[in-house]
Amino acid sequence: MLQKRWIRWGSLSLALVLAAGLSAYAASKPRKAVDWASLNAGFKDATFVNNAETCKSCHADAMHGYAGTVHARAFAAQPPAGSGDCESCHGPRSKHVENPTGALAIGEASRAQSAICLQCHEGGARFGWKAGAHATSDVSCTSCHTVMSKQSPRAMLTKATATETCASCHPEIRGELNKMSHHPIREGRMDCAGCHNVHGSNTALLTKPTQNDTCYTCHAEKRGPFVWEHAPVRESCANCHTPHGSNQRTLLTAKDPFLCLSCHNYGGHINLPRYNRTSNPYGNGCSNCHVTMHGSNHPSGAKLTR
Amino acid sequence: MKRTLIPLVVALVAAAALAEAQTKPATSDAAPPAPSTVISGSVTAGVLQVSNDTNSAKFTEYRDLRDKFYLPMVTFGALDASGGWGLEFSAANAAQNDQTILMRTGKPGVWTVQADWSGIPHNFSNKAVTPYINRGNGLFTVPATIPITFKKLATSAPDTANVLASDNLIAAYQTTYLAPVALSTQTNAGRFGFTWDGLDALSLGVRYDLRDTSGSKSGFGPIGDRPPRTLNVQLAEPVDYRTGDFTLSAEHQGRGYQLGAEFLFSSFANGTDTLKWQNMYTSAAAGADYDVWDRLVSVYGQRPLPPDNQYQNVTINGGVDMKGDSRLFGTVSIGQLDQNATLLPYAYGGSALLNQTLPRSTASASMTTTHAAVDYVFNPVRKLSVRGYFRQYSLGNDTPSSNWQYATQDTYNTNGSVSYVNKRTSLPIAWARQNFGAEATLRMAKRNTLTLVFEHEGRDFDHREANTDENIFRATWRYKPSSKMSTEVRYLYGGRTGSAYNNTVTHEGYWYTAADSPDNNNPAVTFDNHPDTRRYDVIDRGRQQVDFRLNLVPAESFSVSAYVRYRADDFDSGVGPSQPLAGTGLAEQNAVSPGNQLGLLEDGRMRYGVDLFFQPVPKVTVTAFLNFDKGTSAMKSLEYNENNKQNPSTIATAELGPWTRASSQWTSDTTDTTFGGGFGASFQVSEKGAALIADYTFSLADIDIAYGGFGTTNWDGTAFPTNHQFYFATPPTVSEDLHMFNLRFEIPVKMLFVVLGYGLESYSLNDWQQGSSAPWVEAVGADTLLRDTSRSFQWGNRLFNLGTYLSPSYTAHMGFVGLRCRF
Repeated sequence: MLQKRWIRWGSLSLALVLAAGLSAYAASKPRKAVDWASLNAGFKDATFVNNAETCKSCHADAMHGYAGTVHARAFAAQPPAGSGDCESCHGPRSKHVENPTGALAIGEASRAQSAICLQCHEGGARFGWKAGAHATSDVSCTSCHTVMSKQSPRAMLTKATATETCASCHPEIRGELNKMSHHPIREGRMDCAGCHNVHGSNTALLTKPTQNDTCYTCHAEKRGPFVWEHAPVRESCANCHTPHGSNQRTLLTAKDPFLCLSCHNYGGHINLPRYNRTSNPYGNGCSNCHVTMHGSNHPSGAKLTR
Repeated sequence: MKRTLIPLVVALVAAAALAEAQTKPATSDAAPPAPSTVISGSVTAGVLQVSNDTNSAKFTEYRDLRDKFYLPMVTFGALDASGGWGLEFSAANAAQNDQTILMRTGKPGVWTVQADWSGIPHNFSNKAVTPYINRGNGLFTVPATIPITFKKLATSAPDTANVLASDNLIAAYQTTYLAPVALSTQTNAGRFGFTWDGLDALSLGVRYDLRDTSGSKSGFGPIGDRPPRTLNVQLAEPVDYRTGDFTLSAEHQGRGYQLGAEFLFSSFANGTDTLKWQNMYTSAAAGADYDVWDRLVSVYGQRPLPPDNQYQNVTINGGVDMKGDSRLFGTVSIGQLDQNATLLPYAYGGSALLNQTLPRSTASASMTTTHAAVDYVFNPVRKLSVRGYFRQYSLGNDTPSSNWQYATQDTYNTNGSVSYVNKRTSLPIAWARQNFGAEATLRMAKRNTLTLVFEHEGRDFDHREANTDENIFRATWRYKPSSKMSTEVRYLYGGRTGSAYNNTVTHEGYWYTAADSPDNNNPAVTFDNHPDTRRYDVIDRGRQQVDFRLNLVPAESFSVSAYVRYRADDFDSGVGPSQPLAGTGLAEQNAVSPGNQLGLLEDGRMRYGVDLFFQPVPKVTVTAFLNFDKGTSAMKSLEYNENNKQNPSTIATAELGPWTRASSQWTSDTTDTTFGGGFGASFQVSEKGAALIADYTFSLADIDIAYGGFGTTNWDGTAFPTNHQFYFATPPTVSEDLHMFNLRFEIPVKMLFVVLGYGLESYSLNDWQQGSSAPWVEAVGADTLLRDTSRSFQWGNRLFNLGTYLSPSYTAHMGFVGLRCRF
């Protein structure tokens, strides 16, 4: 019954969007307009040439690498109305044809460069781009993506892989990937985009609103909920784990039992790293017995030992 | 669910097809140009030879490396240049455990079908051994039980001779019954999606993600109610997980606004519900499920494995562009988590003494999540950008709170009753977080940018010691005078305040009767955790972070960048002496705690590094990097006897003494350093494409824990002998060194490339926790039985495990010979 209610809510939401979209079909194709003159004053009064052969007459080398890209194929199938292929990104070039200099280059300011891409790509994962940490840190689309040639199998990245692309600005993370315990990123089994939406605006640019929601995407066995909850676990996996890499086992932030002892001080065997018990400093420490530290479904699971 | 979803998906696809049909351009009378389809691809095949001197699973932790013939890479592409349709296919390590298969086809900007499939092996150990036999469905038995002679769990009955004799019997048992056991999992993850973007105003998507994990991982099977009486064994816990996520999405783009919706249904299923293992130390009379020691001891232990669960979520996003290049963006998300597994009984078997009635037969666990966020970005004046934002996230818990017995299936009080302190109440843990703030970025002269941020975060918890409020300030200065240089300095300060710390909130997790009050340990009358303890996630915290980055690109062929990060967290919460028993009427209600904060006190991290790129000539590229990472943390705790909370003075001179004694405190300071680096070079040897590529990476890590206070010495300063049950001292440095070297040579031969590769890896590990050579632990017979060096009679200081150093050091060589063909 509960599932059916959720299905109805989801369907209703999708139907509303579908209705809005299809009802707008009859109107002219809306595309986010770009004020070219604000990006470079030289564009004032310029018009679109709308002929790729004109561009190719001087820029054949650049267009050779461009030809195999997804943009080239998309524009071949659906040429942008009015501007054509090249000028949809490079702006109206009538003045450049008259006087072929670099005067109409788009400035390096990230907002200027991103505005061009956002005229078509502000949807999906990029809904919140302008509010995200990358945009507000002056990162532009071209910081990570390259349009004129295919450097990566996916996503038009400047480097061969997403990990290399991210590491070019986040080198401190690369060092963590080589630690004893790590996600299989350096082995190529996953990449930064597995946990991060680099175009979004969530905290830490995670794919989901919270750390836990992000982790549950792959670790659904920890999602629960459980009869017995471990409160700091339910709030944030980062209370005990550091996801980029750790010199402790299973991405822990500290050596067990010291991690557990930072919060638990009941007395007896709980209070010492060694107390003549299987909580001793060998094996998995406290987890030798307290095996269900992520939550328990056993009637006697209050101490997370079942 | 299928009845609703299938028509919905069909409707979506039909809508897409209908719109696609309406977008087809009108045909003309002229003959269409002949379509041109370009086919391209490559195939690389070869033979891999591997040598791993210790067969350590660490070498193949996430990789399928073994002697084999295989296809490292296959690519295929078909492109209809005139129509825009394309097909891309790639398969790395096809048909291997670590394969990655990517397929995408469609018309860019119109529709896309994407299918990915990847394998993720996770090898934990190649040397684990166990006497247990996996009978399937979570059941583990032993071929024979151990005829131990010391059948006592009582804590007051030492019998050293029999205890040691039993240990020797266990040691002898190992030589007969230990057998290798696989300790690894294989995850296969697939993603199948269809996206339709045929209209500028509308795009639709449907996707299914499948994640299947199977194998075995390290787990434990404890039998017993309290640590002295714990019969503990490490097991190869079965893993049989399947997660399926179904996502529907739709997005509408209007003039200056976007609206999107997404529905997610996620289902997790575990093929094995219960772990059940035979107690190797017991033998039962015919028809009985327990052995008779001084207490009744169950012949099996059992515990539930991760239960099936479901998660559903609806998210609506919207963004609108407003005047002055401003934008308003918002998102609302509602989710629900459910789990309703049938609960195991308190006790295994039919013991009437333990089969007490459960408050409910199923978990009935349910949580709801709500998330809302609003961002507004605008430019009040030229060169000034401002962003205001608000976020709210709450996790509500609808799981019923019930009163339970801590009556395990095995050992309990000698009269069959359960201890009152183990009358436990399950609590519906819930929390909420609000963030709001403002950010201003000023673009100044000469490419200087200054960003100032203020943010407030408030967190409210149910059943936690405190709520928190934090004010965060950030300042960033960026300077990019030219394309050849950029620098950035960032400073963050966060001041978090916890509300009044309620140390007694844990009482909510117990249910008591009037008759329970006299017990000396009664947490309801006294306290749960020591009154000076502060749990670091809900207390005051002062944090500071400084970042510095410098990028220099003096030429296209040369660049260097450097960074420094320093972060320090201080959890000082102004703890002072307290009287936790005040007002209770107890004889020692005026007893005072030492007043030194216990728990995590400080945490810091320093990172710095440098990256280099150099291309002296077009045919030669050199890269190098170095990074240093150092983490430090400090904590404090205090050892005391939990059975004397009401009368601490009566044990004033005992080793396991009172909670009021400052000299029972201990401290640990951890330093965790990692020094890493790498070097890479590629040389194009000839114009025909012959190339030599080499790279070397290293990572050297050390962990030092400086331990002092109680444990190294007694409370009176007397040194503990190393085999004392409380002895602990600064352990040896944990070190982990990894070196990886790879060399590849590609030689063109007519239409092919011959690929020759060599790899060398060296990994060394020394970790006192993984071994049995520390002063506090010893192996008995084999390293599968670890015992505290005190050799106390209590079963709780023995651990029957899968072995030590399950993924040890190794030196490995890899050689590859192959051919690559491009077409």
